[in-house]
Amino acid sequence: MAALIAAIAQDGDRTAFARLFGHYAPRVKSYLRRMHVDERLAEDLAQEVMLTVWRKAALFDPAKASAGTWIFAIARNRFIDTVRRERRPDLDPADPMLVPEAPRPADESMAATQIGTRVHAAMSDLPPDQAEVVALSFLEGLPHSAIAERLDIPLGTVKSRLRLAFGRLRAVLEDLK
Amino acid sequence: MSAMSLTPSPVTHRLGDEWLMAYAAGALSEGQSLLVAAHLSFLDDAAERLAVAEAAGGALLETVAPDLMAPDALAQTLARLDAPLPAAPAPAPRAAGGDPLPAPLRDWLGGGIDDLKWSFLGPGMKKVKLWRGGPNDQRLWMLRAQPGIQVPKHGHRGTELVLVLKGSFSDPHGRFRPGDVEESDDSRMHALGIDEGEECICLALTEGPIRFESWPARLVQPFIGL
Repeated sequence: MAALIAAIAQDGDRTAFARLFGHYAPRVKSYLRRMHVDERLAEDLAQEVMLTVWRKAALFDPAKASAGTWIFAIARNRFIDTVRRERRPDLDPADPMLVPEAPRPADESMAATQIGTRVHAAMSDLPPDQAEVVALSFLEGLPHSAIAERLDIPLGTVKSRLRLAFGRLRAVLEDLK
Repeated sequence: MSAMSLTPSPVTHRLGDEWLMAYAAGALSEGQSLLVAAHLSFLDDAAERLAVAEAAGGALLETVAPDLMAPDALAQTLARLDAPLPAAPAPAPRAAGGDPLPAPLRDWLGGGIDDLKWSFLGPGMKKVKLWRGGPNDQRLWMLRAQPGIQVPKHGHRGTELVLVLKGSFSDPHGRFRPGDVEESDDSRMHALGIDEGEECICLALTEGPIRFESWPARLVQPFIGL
């Protein structure tokens, strides 16, 4: 998937874009539907997100994020901007995820292509109670307090499960260095 | 000015990683996001940690059941690929040197610390309200207090987050310097003392109205609007 984004950036490759669209547009739409966006707007926004992928392809850095993570961040920002009509404060106004750095040595980029696979594996290895709160947080955008209510568990338990899940993901990514 | 130059000493009171996860998930209110982004601006490893949290979103995006796109969705999008780019928003004004506001906060406000309309909060204390909304009646505001001032004992209905931007304060949980955050829950009435030597500016996120313990402070409560 990262190679498809690179082909868009380097050659304006429409076939690569079509393949990327085929994979991600239906998933972005599905994500937005889970965030309670209505069918029609979710369709429009999924197309908009893919248009942003085309336009910003040159800024995608496979050493920093997998294609899915990059596209997730674009979709999330679009949701906050358009649906919640809020201004999401970016950590860095230049948006670190979208700003390319100097080219990395080949072996480092090689390791980076494993990020998606490794995180994916780590996510499926999460204990079910941790996976559940992560999914409710990322796929439904629920605040911690709403997750606590939904699952009928104390707020502190929601927080500690998220912290533990973060720790596991972090350990996996540290291993790649 | 980079965030690094704001950080003479390392941040010793970090927000829990659950806040980073919620920020990455887009599950925070605008006010909470601002406070978290402002806090992260003080940390050397923030971008890396945020990348880890966002990777969870990326992995989940791969696992959702694909939805059905409109039959002409790809054709429509392909037709738009060569459309001219929308104009980029104008860059936010840069702050003068010495402004203690971290970049996300400055960009959101569209100005520096001295562009804000500070008003009376109590003896030696000023406040400015920035935002109100989200679940649980959240309020984002800033406190500017003179050195040596005691902030009277108070509590809230929900969670209180206080991020130090300049100067420092102390309470039974330690000393809080620029970049440090103190998180308090509703069960606790607490006071804090601004340290001597320098004014202290904090960004605070509170839920519901402030409750003061002492009656003189309670008398002014209706007028401060927090």
